[in-house]
Amino acid sequence: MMWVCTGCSCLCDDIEIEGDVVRHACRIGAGLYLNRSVARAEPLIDGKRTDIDSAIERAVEILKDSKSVAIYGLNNSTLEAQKIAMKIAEKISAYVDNGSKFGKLAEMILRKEIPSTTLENVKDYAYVIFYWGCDVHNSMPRHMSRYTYYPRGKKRQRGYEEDRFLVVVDVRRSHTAMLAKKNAVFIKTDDDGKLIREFLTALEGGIASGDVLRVVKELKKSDFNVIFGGGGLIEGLGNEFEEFVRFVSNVGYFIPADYRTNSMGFFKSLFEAGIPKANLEDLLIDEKVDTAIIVGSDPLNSMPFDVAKRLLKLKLIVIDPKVSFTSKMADVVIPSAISGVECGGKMIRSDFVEVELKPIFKSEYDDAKILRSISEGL
Amino acid sequence: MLRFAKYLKKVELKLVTYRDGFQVSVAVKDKFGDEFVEKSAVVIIHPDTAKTFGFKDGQIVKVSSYERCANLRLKVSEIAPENGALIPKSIYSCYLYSDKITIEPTDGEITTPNELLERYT
Amino acid sequence: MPSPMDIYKLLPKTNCKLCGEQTCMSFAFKLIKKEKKLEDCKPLFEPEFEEQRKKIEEMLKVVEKATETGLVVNEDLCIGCGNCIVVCPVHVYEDPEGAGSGFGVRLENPILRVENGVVRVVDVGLCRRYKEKTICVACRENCPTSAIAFLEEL
Repeated sequence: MMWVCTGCSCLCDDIEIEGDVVRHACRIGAGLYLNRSVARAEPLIDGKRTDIDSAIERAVEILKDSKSVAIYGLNNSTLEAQKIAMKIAEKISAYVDNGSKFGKLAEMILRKEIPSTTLENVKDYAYVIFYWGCDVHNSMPRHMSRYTYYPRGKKRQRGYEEDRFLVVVDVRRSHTAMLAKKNAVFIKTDDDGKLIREFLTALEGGIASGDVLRVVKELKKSDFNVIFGGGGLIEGLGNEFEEFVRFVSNVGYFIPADYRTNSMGFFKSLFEAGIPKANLEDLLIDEKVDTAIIVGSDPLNSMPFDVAKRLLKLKLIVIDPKVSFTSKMADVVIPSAISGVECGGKMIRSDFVEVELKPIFKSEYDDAKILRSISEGL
Repeated sequence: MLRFAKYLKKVELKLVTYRDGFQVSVAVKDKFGDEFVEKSAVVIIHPDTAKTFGFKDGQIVKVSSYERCANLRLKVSEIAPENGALIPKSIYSCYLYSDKITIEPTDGEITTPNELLERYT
Repeated sequence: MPSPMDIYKLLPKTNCKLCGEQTCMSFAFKLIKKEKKLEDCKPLFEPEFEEQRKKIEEMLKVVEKATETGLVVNEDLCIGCGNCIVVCPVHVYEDPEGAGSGFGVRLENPILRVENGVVRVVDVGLCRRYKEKTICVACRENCPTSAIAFLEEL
């Protein structure tokens, strides 16, 4: 049976499942499928066991009583579920955030303000491949073997040692950086902005360090080069995207390396609904919300303590297939299906390619159904 | 028994967090299992840092930031930055979130996620 | 994976030469390379060395798992990235549309395949090290978590 893995935003579609054997998926994806029955969430109201419909009803009551709501997460939800969430947001003027910092760059790609391409094109044509501020070996384990550096493609028949040039930029020697061997370079930096300016200078024929000059020489050998940027790059850039966009335009293309499974789907849904992306952390600091619906996300496992503490002062509705730190502290827990394993729909890969999921099981309640029930209740 | 650990000084390091694939796979499985603690309650330092300050791979250390602290397992690896400490992204790194953390040897046990959760309320 | 030094520390360290080697250290090396058997060290089977012998036997279990090409996979260290599958020159040649193009390997009996999130040795018969006795280290070189090792390099 073929399966589309929803372990990360690679959405690998070449996975074979035969009973309890998963072939070709990485540790994260195989585990998602194999451990699907472990630590499942139960419907809860104030920590007490209830049934799903009652939990949904209670969620609707809470929402009706609240003044200002934030909807958070949705990265593991299908496009269909995300769209219903956007409708709820419009109906009750809720803030929406998925916790990813890639919003600005995703919007620039959707507005065609920064050149982007598909992973299939990268495989077939890319020569210089940058991994900037992302340790994909850990966050998206098959990224390099399935789509970018290692596979052979139409115009890249001779393999990674001759037909590709790998550049890894990071503050530390990550596992991804360790793969930069022959025909490759690892550039260690604590200052991304400075390095981008150095690249721009070198591209215009100016003076730069040896590594930068070497990469620029390689860049000039091909008209198809690509930059994968991760959380480290975004952090390093702050809000200064102008020089980065100029750099990308000089190099070739940019593809976000946001591991969150359907993060790009979230940004597209948001963009199409015309809703501005909120930042829940800021909302919590400014005390702007009194209720949060958390969908398939565990902010206590990702938000700084000071902010997460404020989150626990809100009324919390958690929709999740599994028990999480946040679900333990929630007012209402509504158990859901694991997208891609127990329910189908569409998701968008990190390069904005739409992928149809191939669920192995069926579930009565998934994110889309739960959100639809809540929407109807409102 | 002589506990050399007590004679070592605290070391202050820059905190860098990262997404560890092995940690992610156990977090996806069950955040309340032993494997989660094994893969998450970890602080990694560079071999040079370990040598300079006399830390050993596998020892338990007290990691503090501001008034908060947790006991984590210390690991020594080149994937850590030379001037910093690397912690996999999880409730542990969130709890200890700050620019700088201090690491010192301890005889205590590793902190559990439930102990951390109690400190949130 | 035990190092020769780990083994050596547990040997009698008398350099008695009964095994045919000049030193116990040299015996430790050959033991890991499977060129000597533990039984070749006669003194180790005396009662006084029983505890140490058991420790060595435990250590050698990993070595026993090594395939005929000396390839050893430590599944605990594998993240299932598939780099080894895609870079393998034999896979590329035999399965250009599958492994060679980055997909899961489509051969019935490949050298390596990722199963349940970790790499497994399926059939070393195809490996260049086995057939042509070529020293190819492509799979090991592209594994940053050291899940793949070769006996002779240890």
